[in-house]
Amino acid sequence: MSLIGPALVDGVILASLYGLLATGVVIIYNTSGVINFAQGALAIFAVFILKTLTDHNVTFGIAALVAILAGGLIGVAIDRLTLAPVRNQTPLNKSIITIGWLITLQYAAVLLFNAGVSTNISRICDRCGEQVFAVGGLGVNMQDIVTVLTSVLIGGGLILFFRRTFTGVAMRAASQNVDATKLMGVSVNRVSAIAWFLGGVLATIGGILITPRLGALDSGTLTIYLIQSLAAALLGGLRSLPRTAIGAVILGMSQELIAIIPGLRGLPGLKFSVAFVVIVVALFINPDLAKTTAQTVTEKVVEPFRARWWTYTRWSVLGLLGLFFLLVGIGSGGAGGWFGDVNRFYWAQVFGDGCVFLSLVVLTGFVGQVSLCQFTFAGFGAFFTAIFTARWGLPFFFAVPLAALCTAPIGMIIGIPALRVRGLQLAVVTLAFTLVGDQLFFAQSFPLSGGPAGQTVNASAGPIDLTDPTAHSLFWTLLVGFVVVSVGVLALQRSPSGRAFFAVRDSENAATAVGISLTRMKLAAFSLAAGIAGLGGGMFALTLPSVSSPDFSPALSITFLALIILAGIRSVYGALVAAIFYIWGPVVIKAILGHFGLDPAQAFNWQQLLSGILLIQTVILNPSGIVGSLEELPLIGTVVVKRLRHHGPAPAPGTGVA
Amino acid sequence: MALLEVDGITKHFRGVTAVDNLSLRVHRGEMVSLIGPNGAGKSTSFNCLSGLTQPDAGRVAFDGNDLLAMPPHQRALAGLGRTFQTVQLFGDLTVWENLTVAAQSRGAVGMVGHMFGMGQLETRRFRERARVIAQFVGIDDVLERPAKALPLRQQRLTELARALCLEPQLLLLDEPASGMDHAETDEFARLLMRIRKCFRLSMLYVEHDMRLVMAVSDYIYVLDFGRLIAEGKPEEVRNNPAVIAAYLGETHSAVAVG
Amino acid sequence: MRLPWADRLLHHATPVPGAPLLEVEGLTVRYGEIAAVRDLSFSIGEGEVLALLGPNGAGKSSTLRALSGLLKPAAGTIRFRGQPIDHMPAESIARLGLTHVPEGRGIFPDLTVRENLRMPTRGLKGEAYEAALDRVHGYFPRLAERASQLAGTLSGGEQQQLAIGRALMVKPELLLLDEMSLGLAPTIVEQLFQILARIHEDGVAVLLVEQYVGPALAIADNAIVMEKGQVRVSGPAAELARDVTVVQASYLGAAGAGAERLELVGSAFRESLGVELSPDQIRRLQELAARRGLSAEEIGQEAIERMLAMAAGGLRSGEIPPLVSASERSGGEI
Repeated sequence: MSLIGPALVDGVILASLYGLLATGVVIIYNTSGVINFAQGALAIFAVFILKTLTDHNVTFGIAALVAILAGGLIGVAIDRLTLAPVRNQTPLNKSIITIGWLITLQYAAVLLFNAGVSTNISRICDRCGEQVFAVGGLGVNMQDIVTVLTSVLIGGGLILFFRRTFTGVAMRAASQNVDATKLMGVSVNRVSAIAWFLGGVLATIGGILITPRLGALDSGTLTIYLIQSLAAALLGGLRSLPRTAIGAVILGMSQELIAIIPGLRGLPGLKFSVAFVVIVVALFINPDLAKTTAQTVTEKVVEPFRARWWTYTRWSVLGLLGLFFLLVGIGSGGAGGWFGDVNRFYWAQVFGDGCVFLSLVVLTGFVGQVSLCQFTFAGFGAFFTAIFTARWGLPFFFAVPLAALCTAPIGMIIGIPALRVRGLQLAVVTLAFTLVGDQLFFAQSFPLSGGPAGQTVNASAGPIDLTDPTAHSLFWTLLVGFVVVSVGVLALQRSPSGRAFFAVRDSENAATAVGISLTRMKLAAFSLAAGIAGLGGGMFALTLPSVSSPDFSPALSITFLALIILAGIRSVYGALVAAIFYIWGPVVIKAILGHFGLDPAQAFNWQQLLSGILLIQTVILNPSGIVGSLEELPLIGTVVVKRLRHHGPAPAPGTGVA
Repeated sequence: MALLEVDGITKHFRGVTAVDNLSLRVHRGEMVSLIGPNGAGKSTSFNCLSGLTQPDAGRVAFDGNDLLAMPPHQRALAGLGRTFQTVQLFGDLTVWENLTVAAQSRGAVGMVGHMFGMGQLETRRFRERARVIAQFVGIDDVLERPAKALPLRQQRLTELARALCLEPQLLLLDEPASGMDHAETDEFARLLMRIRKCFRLSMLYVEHDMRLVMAVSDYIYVLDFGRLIAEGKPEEVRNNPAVIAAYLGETHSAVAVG
Repeated sequence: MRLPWADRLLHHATPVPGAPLLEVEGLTVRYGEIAAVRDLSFSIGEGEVLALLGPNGAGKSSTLRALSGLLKPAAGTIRFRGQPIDHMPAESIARLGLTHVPEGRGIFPDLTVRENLRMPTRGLKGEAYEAALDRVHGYFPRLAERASQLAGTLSGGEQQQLAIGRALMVKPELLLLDEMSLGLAPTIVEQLFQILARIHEDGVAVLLVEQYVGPALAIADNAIVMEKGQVRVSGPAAELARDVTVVQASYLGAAGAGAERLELVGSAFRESLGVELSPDQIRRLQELAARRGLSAEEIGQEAIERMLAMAAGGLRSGEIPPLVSASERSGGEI
């Protein structure tokens, strides 16, 4: 009994925090039709501005005001600079732009403010840490009271704003009918900018209030809070503020209450996994949740540009690539050089990650199901592989495929909500699942991983030793694995099943009308993609001595989706390009940084920053996702190079029919 | 026993009764049309039959089986094909691929089999059927083009061909001739007749164009505000001077034109 | 990218004195490769009512959308009081006094009636706002009764009233009405046209897109019949009303204007039903069509419906079956 009190109190505090972030998301979504995935990153960036100012002895109050203003202005900048030019694109495409901003802002914060290192942030005020009262062992301090009060006041103020003021009513109108709003003489750009300003302000306030709770400022942890708030917003149906508040309360409460259920108390990661379960349950109890006011019809991920000349040269490129890999594979020993051991190792990693990208091509490119959790499946595959090789002593050629087979059914778990939601909402649900994987399974000692220290991988079990430092056998093994999977996916693409996948992507109603079972297709697609991702994860595990939870953080799944969209979400070759960019990017950038005298340790961060910016640019420059013979090469095309036109099978006409 | 027996279908939407106690029959080989003003409930009735909506009441028997108990894709496989009022093609696929997707939904080889390259034989059979149908309908010159790049008329023909590839017994056609002018409508009427004869199909279709309706139908049902208000054969109107006189006054009687 | 200060400049630019209220020259609107409107030219004077008629797909709605700025024209110029507006954003055009009531009414379903009415006033407060509200309530008293009701729950006729009333809140100079009668019972449509007449008397110019030829021609000063994006016939409404078969010819797509007036309706009937009507019967049919504001095709459909019922019911001649038709069924007030 004594546990319920603190749990409830904590639940209220959490609900306030989630509510703040979620409200910003909902306001933005309702007015401009975009889910702002960058809400958390925006908060981080602004909070770091605050910290920098207080570090320079600016009083907290002024610094906070500046930070809040900055947060709002960043929001407006996102809207004006990158969303206004593409108002006519689908909500899904526009939200992908915000994913680009998530990456950009997060890594800009890392680079500008050294945010990668866990930094301690001083309390809001010296007295705020003082305990005001206690509920059954849980001390409630001034901080928490301020949090709850702020949320309630802001919430109330916003509700008044949307009902009483003209601007508020105009914003509600814009969410219902954009054309009619324009005809009323109301500028949609202005209304949208106001929404984003509010969203940015709310994000910053939320960030300021959360940070002392976290103790240290870590962009990874803030991502967790972002995902939770997106879940809260989804629970509220993404519709109105009162509903969002209810969603936040439900989530905050269930999160705390679940942890005190006897029997479940031993699972500390359960708290954050609750979001996923609550959403799935809610979706099935109340199918209306899946419908939103900002209507989304069949939405497919944007197709980046295609360069026609590649259709003709692709065989020669393939030949060149093959030759290159052959040389790498049989290259001389010795660590350095183009064909040396170190590079060979990187290429091996490319093939492992390439499989994970392939899983995205199948799931999101072929079937049109947005998934932000593929790298979590890779994590499952990696951990299974580690256990099978290290604990059971299986050789890798059994362990990895077995790991893939074990991961596939997990994919079906995500497939189930996919039967109810699609597009943006599915993206949020998959994001919630990353927390389940990360918090519940990877970070805990049992059953999967070895706890924070990770699970060791024994890549030398069996007749072939992959831990050889010259990386020859590793390279060839993973190359073969990648080629086999690629060939399979290509075969799928040209096969009737592949066409059935495309049909589901293009028109679910029509697919049903031609006898395709949506349920079967979606569940099969999710299982297959999870299996392929698991295979990739297992392959990736073979390149490391051990695997641990940070290797598969939720943020990585987001990065992977971003990169494959850049590279070409519908093409198998795109998977290879994305993997090359992911592994080799930091290496190349490191060399560049060293050349210019900058800190080479930041190479990964620069690469991420670059990919974020590139993603934003790509979505903007590509005219509404039309596949076909787009012959223009955007400027960035010279950087990210290989594209291939998606080409269906050519029927052989005239084979014997009169 | 009729191929399609609809009894007492009712569907409410938010307080509005879209379909009210509708009953109709389609016998084998028959062409039946459903006419009525906009908003009369025709598309909703179709959606109830094809499975996009569940009716609130009523029974539907298709070839003796309870249609309402089948999930939507199952109804397609059981022989119920349909086209949509706003053309729903698989836009990014070529016309050819649109057809083969339908043809091979009866295939036995699953996804994994395909990844290993199985199922070549049955694929060939499905392709044959698709090719024959494409020639019959008249779209075999645009097979390579992506479906969304076609003009509307050919999109409608493609959708029709796709439904045929499914080997249906009954076709539900939702305003298949809308957007066509007089000449195109005549040609379309002839196509429908040919399809009925060669494929031995039955059809239930919604149409506004009276010339098409009177030319092609064996039986007509009239819907208004969700209710059936009249039914009968075209001849009963055409060859019955008394009816015309009653409607328009008896000053001179009408003479039937051949 | 539009610069707000430039917008303000445009708003305050002096209208050219003596210029017609609206002048359209060579308007071309494209959707992808298809030209919905081709080289359309016309003008509207102060307080004039222009009816834009034609069958589905003729390009009428596209024309209105180009005028109000929802669509950018591919070619041509649009001048409002001498000011070119063809590349202004829709919200700026609305502020100039050109309001558009779109097809489907464009109301905000989850806002109340009062909130809907508030939208075009852009923060107008106090007396001016109350005066505008009173004026609109004067035309549509129903809206006052339903002030706090969610707009999405209103009946079709009430929604149309709300849409028009909302447009009138800011005293427009030119009102674009797109298919005001769509989906409404003819008695309700009649009432709307009566109110429209009053609005017209108060000095508002109207560009009216309609499928119902009769009532539109009755209220209009001039009319244009469009077909496949171009003008088929134009002229004073009274002339066109006398020659209603010319209008209906465009609905049927009959080539050439030489079709005889009686013959046209008869041929429609003949093609639909395969019967030859006597001239008296044709005239009766034509009267029915004109009175009900139906096209030849629509009257043909209705005829088939009724006659099927009669045939199936085996009624004797002279009796019209008690079919409850669309107009009578929903009868009574809006």
